[in-house]
Amino acid sequence: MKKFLALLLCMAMVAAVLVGCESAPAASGGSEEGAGVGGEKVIEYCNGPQPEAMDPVTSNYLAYSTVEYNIYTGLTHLGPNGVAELAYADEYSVSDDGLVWTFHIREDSHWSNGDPLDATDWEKSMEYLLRPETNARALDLLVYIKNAEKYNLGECTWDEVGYKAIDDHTLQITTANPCAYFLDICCTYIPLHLDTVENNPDWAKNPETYITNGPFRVIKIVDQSGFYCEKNPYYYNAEEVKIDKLNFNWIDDQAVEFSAYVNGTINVSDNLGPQSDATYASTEEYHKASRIGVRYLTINTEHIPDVRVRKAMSYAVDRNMLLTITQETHEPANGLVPYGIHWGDKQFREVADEKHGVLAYYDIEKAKELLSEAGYPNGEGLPTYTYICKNTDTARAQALQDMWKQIGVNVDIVPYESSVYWDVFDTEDWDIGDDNWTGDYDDPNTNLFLWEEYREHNDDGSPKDAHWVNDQAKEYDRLLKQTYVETNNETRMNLFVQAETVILGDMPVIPIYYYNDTILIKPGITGVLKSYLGHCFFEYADIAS
Amino acid sequence: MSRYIVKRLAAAFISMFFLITITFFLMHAIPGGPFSAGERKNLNPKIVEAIRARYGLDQPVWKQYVNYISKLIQGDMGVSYKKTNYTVNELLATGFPVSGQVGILAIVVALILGIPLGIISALKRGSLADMGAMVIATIGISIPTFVIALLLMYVFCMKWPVLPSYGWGGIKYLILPVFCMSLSPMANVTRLTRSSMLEVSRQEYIKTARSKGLPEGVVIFKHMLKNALLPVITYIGPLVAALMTGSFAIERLFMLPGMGRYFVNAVSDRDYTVIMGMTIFYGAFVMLCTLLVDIAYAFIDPRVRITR
Amino acid sequence: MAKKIDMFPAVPEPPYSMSDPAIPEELFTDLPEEEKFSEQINRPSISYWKNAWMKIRRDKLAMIGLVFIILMILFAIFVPMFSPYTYEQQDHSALYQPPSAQHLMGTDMFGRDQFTRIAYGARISLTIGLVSAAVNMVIGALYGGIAGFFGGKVDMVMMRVVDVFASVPSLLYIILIMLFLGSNLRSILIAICLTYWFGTARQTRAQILSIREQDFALAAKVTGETDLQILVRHLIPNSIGPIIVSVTFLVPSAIFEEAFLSFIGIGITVPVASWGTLANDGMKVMGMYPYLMIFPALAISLTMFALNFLGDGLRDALDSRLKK
Repeated sequence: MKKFLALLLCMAMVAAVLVGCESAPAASGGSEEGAGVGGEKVIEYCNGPQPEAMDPVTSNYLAYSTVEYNIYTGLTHLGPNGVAELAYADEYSVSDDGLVWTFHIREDSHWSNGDPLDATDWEKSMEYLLRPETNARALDLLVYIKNAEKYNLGECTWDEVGYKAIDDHTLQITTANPCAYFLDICCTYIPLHLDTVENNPDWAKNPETYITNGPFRVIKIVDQSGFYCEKNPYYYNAEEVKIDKLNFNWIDDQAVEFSAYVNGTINVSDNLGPQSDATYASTEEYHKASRIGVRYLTINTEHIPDVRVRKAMSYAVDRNMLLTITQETHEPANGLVPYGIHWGDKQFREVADEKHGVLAYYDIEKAKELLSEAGYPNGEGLPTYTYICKNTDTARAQALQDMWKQIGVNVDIVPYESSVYWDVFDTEDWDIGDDNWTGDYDDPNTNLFLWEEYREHNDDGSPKDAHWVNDQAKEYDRLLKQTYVETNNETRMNLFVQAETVILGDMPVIPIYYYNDTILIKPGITGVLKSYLGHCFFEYADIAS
Repeated sequence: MSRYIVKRLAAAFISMFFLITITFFLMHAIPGGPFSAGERKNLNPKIVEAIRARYGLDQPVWKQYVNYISKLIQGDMGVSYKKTNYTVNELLATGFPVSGQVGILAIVVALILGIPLGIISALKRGSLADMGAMVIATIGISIPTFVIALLLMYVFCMKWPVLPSYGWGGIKYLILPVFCMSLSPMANVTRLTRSSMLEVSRQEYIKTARSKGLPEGVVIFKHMLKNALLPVITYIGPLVAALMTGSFAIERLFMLPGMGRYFVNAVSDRDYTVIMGMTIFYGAFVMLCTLLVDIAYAFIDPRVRITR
Repeated sequence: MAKKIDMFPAVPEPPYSMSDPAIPEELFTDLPEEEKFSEQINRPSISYWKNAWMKIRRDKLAMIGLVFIILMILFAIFVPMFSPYTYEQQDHSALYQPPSAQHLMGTDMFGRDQFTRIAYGARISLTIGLVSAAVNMVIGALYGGIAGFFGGKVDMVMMRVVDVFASVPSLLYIILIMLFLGSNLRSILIAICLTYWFGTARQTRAQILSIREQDFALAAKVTGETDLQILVRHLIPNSIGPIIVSVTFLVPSAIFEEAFLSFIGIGITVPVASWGTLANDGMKVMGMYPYLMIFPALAISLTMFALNFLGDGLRDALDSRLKK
């Protein structure tokens, strides 16, 4: 018995040791401080799980971007009204051909540790990001810079790249093409504190080496738990930043995030499940904003060659019902350019619908008619199509399956894990594929460029995503190519309207819905900016005391 | 004794080798890979290639295996492919204390509640108390953990918000996860204690003790319990390993930064090095716990001789 | 012997004997009818199984469990056959209906009848539980039996193999195998069977080791039975009681394992649903439509209760060491 007691005692001691060694670093858990000690203004924010990479070099995801744009600020940034305006650049000029952009960098620029930040830092950062050995992931917006892609592939020297510091406070960017929305793109051009980034591979793990230039700076990082920031006193606009602490909390499960919001552990909740929507939809805490993303189905036009069948499948989709079934708060889509993209002062979506009419909508009679016209009355003679999706998206798939069944089109749902889904997608060994895209800037091109035939190529030069390769596709490409050189906004927008008409007339994609972002914000918190990209900005936020 | 331990350790090494080999090849056999995932439209295929080459993923699997083993021998489990700034050793070092703490506490709770319940139900076999104890024990293994966790969260974090619903920090963060985690082992401990108490109670020496007129309390605690707990100890060995390496469902729901989450996430991310690291750690831990239990057994039960 | 004779002088021949004609017939009387067979073992010999069955019948909890399981199996077989709905038939005009006379357990997000789906889910979940338990028992009993019976090197090698399996994190292997074979019923069965059998094998080996030295095993050997015959005819049947008990507890584990796979999103593929997937789907809308979570969770929990009670009863009945 004594021995047994001794054993128990040993176990208890092990436990005590574990408790002891753990409680030291964890006791100061961010969420506990969140109560706002001494009248501090603290935002406890949550947007689902932790992004897998937590630094701007290796990250590639929306979730990290929200962190990134609160701790880093670019030449430009989104102003309080959600429109791009100057930030670290205090003035700029564009050459007449629209290619050379000269930015004047603020004299009072500092890193979050107080070191001065000048134009050479911006240039060196860009060189580091584009350097092939860096293997940076999120480069898709850097290709606007002249020769950036070439340098990244090791095909030219840095001298040829259009991103140069002229002097300490002047940065000159040369773009590959004229770009109407370049100030939006510049929001994503941020500097990296290369002294630490280059020399310390672990820099992103420690707050001391995570040196940034945004409205907030990191003070504590707990992997899998949270990312805790405070106001950056060296930010150029620090006086205007009202929030003292901004804590990013990681919560995997929506139901848990909901309960954390209800009991007040977090005060801004950005990953809402059906339950949060239903509970709060009618309250003031619930905010809805459109994001420039679309959910659509990609059809392999080589497998479903008859345009009437494709159109019939689009007409058979009751998008409102679909959203009711899946309990989502998005907007049924009738086109491919979402709300949030502007044509002057108006929404591109509304103007385009006026011009080309509504092209995708629910009309089951029309669907049946088209099918019999195509020679498949009630779907007779059609094969069973293969519908692929991620295993998290099967609800929508099942609802669609049933809707198509109503017109006699049968599909098999084949779900894949998200980590292999895009591999399967690339094999083209399917008929209908679930797909979505969120754009990066306020221009129709951010969505419409997806269906350009030449977008991606295999090593042998053949187009990679050859889902849509007929004459209509070529016409679409021609129209989009024109938009790259056209400088008159009205003409350019009309070209996009034409392009959308062409693609929806041939229906190689079936639009399903435009994204809406929903967010819960506790009363008293003001000025939280949810951008059209889905990012949340707290630079302008305040909490009523 | 020491010879026995050496022998067992040698066997454990061979087992580990097989474990590593099987896991490595099975892992590479499943479709997908660490860098084939992600947002197709964002990643330039050339960059993906470069990254794969940097991690040696472009080599044939057997070569990767050789590389891995030779690094492993030097104690290097590699870097995580997905959590780019972390080495596997680091992940283990941060995750294990969390899971281990929750696991140990859960076991302690399970023993503190389970043993008395088992004793009561064995002593009053067939009575209402027995039935009651067995029903309580059965609840523990009858409701899926995630259901219990969500119900508790609903009651204690939303309806009556006295506990934090997620996170890691002080004692109050531990209450719900530890309770959820201890339910199923508690149920098993109760059952085991009950059945072995019943078995022991029929032994001659118990009758002797009773007929000598020893007080009932002494009989129960000194003579019966001591022997009845042996199977419980056998059960605790692997259980310690299982609980201390974390439960995915609990860690995910309560957002504990422990090993269980790393483990399942690593599989779905195809984070090969992390999968291997976790498997090795888990396997070694299980073997160690079993060995310790066997040794402990020899100390407690003089009938067991391990040097054969 | 001599001593004994000394102490007890020789007893004279009994005065009467059946064969002695000197005793007249009439002295013999028939025993009264009721005493005629008093020395005979009158009670029919009760086999092990019969005995166990009698014990179980007296165990109320176990009987409740047994009846519940049988009812659940009948429910799984017949409800989908006679229900006006099928498990996959959607009705978009009746989404999220609360329980009513028309839909006993309400409808789900697609307007599918939950009662039918739970019955259909019972097929899946019970199949997983029962089949994997049965397969485990066969593989484990044979493997452990062979190792225990032959002993020596064979035992050593076979048990080291088991050690490797036992130190494997079974969840990892189940997930890996599922990913390798795809998400369907067959892969779940294979995965669970591959990772569970070693427990049974260890237990059987221990049982066999303890009984193979007993006299009846030796007797069988003397009568010329082959090793295999002895193993299959004598050793395994004699150790089967405890094995069955532990396998009974495998059924709930397997059902739980499947539920967990659903929780992490690699369970059975839509539109087929197991109880685990149903509960997991219901969990997401728990606050608004509690019945979508409550009914599947109840189905799981009650079945677990029943199986555990039955297992306990079986243990009390089958394990000879637990006889009162």
